[in-house]
Amino acid sequence: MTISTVPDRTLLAAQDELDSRGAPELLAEPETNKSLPPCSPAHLASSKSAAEIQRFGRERSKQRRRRGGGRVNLGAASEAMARFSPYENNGGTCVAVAGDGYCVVAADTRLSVGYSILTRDHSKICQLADKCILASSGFQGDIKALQKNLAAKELVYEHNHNKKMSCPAMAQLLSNTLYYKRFFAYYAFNVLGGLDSQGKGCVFTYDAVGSYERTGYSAQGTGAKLITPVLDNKLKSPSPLILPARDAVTPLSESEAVDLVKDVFASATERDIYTGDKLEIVVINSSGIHREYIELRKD
Amino acid sequence: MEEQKWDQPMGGFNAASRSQMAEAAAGGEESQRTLYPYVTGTSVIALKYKDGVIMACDTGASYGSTLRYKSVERIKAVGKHSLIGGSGEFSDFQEILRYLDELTLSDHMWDDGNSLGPKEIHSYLTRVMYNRRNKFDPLWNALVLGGVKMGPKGAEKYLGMVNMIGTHFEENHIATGFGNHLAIPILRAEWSEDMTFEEAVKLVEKCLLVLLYRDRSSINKFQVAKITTEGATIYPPYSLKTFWGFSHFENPAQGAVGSW
Repeated sequence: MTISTVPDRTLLAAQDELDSRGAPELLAEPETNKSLPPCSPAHLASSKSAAEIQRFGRERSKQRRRRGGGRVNLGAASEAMARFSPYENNGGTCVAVAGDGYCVVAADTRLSVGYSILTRDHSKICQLADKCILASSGFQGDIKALQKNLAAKELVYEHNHNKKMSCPAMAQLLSNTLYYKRFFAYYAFNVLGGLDSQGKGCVFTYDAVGSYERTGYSAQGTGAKLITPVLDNKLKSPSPLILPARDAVTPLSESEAVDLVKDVFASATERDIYTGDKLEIVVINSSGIHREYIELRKD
Repeated sequence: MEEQKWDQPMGGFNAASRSQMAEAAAGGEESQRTLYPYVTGTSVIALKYKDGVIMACDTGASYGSTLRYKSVERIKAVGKHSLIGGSGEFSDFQEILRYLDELTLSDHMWDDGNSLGPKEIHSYLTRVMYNRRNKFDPLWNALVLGGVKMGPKGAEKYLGMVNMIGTHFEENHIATGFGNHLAIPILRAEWSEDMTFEEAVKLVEKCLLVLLYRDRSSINKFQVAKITTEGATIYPPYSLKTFWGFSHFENPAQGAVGSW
């Protein structure tokens, strides 16, 4: 997906200013030293050479006008300019698993920035309606704003329709809310879990600009790439093309699903630096909502 | 792919390091937005203790690498129940104080017996910072908001932080800027629930001393402030004793080899 702002005159002017000075751009050097931490001397050195190359390639500067704002200058060696970036990744992982009559939504509670941990006790989970829970990871400022936004819209819905929003309704609302900011996205990777109107578990998974689909399980966030293969192995249902049609929701029992989620987070914590500290697990079933916390590795 | 770029740890810049990169300032910009901070304050540290919240910082404000102002008060009382400490661009901090003045004034004019507590002020500041970030014109600060207010369960202490793009959280101990790297490890190891005022000040001084030794933009003139149910007290500035008598400092060339 491409994230770009609507080009705006003063932003363009600032962009041109920077371009004509040949400021090094992250987008122009995607392959250099990705494995090195951003502030290592080798990384800075290589981007300095990129800056010099770009100073001679000023003709290309006009082409860069199309791309939007919000990029950061990590290789700030030669030009020494810390351009403001409106985004940061505060890390964390969210998982949801749907079952027949229950839904498990879980997220770790670590809030990070760069290589620091800001706090070990920050919830990423928000209850939007009595059978609907949202877990989001990404940029915390956007996540809180998004969750507040949705909670307010849910309240308006309740006042208009005299009932709480159902999970599929909230799923559509979330998608629309995200797409509304298509050109200055909410940097939030969401997982919505709950019970649908028939009482069956449902999980909806999103990208940052609102594409969504209903699935039986999902993982989003920095640890998602580590967790999803394991969930696929345990939970992936057969193809929707085969007959007779088989259910997308897992046949696992609620306690088995919770155990699976705990295991999967323990594994992700081992290898993902942004995941850890504590795991918050919320289970929704016909009798209501139940929350539990387990400790994860703190390193 | 865009997603991979977001996966890299970015956003490690904070106000303190930005001030060092604020040289090479632009000329002739048409944009009226904030692009770089100019006069910046360094770290603010705060922690909860038995009676409330303690906040401390130095009284310096740097202009890039110049220590331009040495008697700047970066902690202020807000309303009856809170303290705000600001690091980063000092003029933006003053602007925020003006917003808070308006806020507390209209709160007072309601005359309804209620007054804004630290939680409310923190929420307000978060909204202000986030909305400015949305306009690409941030207030270049990291703010620490602490306070105590009587609630249904007695005196409720609150301590939180907001940064320039709207990231906010609540914790038992907070440090901004370099304090994030130098003071937080000390606070995490040695903070405990219900410390006395003396213990809390000792802990804070320990952190301030480390920052003094290691943060280039800090100066040896600090202010400590506390907020309790009785109100806010900002103590007059004072200095900490430093120790430079290490044997290696006395004859630094002793172990040096060759000439260059």
